[in-house]
Amino acid sequence: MTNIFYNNWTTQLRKGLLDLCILNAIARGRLYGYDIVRQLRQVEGLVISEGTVYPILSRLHRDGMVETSLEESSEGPARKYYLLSQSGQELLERMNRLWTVILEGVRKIQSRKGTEQ
Amino acid sequence: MTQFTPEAQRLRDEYFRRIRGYVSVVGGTTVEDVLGEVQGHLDQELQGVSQPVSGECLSAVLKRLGEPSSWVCLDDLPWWRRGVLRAGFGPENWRLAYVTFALFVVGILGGMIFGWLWWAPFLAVSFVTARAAMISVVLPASMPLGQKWLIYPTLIAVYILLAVVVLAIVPLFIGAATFVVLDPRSWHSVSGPMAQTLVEEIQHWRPDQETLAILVGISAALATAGIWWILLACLYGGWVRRFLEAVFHPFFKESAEKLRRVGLVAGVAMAVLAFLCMVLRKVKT
Repeated sequence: MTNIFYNNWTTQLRKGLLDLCILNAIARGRLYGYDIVRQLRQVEGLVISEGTVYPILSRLHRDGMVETSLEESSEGPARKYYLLSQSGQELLERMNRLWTVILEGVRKIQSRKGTEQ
Repeated sequence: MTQFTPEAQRLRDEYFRRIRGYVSVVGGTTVEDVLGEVQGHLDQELQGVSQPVSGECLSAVLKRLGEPSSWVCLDDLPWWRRGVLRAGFGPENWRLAYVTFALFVVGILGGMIFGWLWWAPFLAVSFVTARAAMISVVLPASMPLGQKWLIYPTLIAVYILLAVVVLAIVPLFIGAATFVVLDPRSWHSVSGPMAQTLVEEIQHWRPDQETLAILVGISAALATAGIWWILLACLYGGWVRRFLEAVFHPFFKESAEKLRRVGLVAGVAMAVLAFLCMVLRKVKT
């Protein structure tokens, strides 16, 4: 039972965090899909199936948060680069602010629990 | 462009086929767009890997990429539509495995009700789908245990029948032929309850022509079985090995050497037994 709960919880957590991490990755500069996946790999436990990153990029592009450009590559087929749009930047700032507030709040609760014990 | 071994190419094509299926139904983006992303990802991931890329290597990359369904957003769809999609574009080997098991079970249940002849066509079709399922598993070593449970009952049932035919058909034919040649008149009386006749004859043990014919027939069958099995064991290798491995796939490969030795020993034992029968006949007459 605890395993099922934990699995559901991590799935939900990952869903929200993936959006945040992808937007933050692109915020540093334009990147193509594989580069974004490589950056996300550094966050342990965040990406279970790397294929899920691409549909999120697609959705962000459809929602106007991300702009794309296709460029020829000397290493193979043309690459699709992703860049944060103006509305994407605004959204990311709000998301980061909220994330920071939540993270600090959670840490406070965790440390309070630690001192009470 | 990344080069693949034939095994890896099949793995890649199957992955692309399933993604194409999901994307074409779910929509939201074009198939070319998604497949372009997948190909780009694979090219990047496999850069620096020795070419042509092996099935195992590609399998590891695809495993990290996740199921083809992860390339589309299924979350917004109702559960029943997700189920239909997974059944429609799920792995071919799983679908075939379910069909195999269903045919096998229907055949057995039908056989219990309508007689065992009913089982034969179901077993035959089930065997074909089982072999098709085996072929669609690109990397047999990574075949899930659940799939084996669905496929193996059919394969084992058919292989036992085939093994009996391969090992016994020639000796039985030679034995029967010898018996008919030696005593054509008694053929009709014995061909029915042959076992019963044999027991009675051994009890009374009068070396008349019919009994002698049976004894010689059995001896010939045993001797032929011995020689046939020794021959099979000795011929093992080259095309015989390939043929047996293909017929009894995937079981024969692992236990082939052991079976060859057992066949050789059993063949020698049969030949010795046949020789003793002949000696016994000579002594009695």
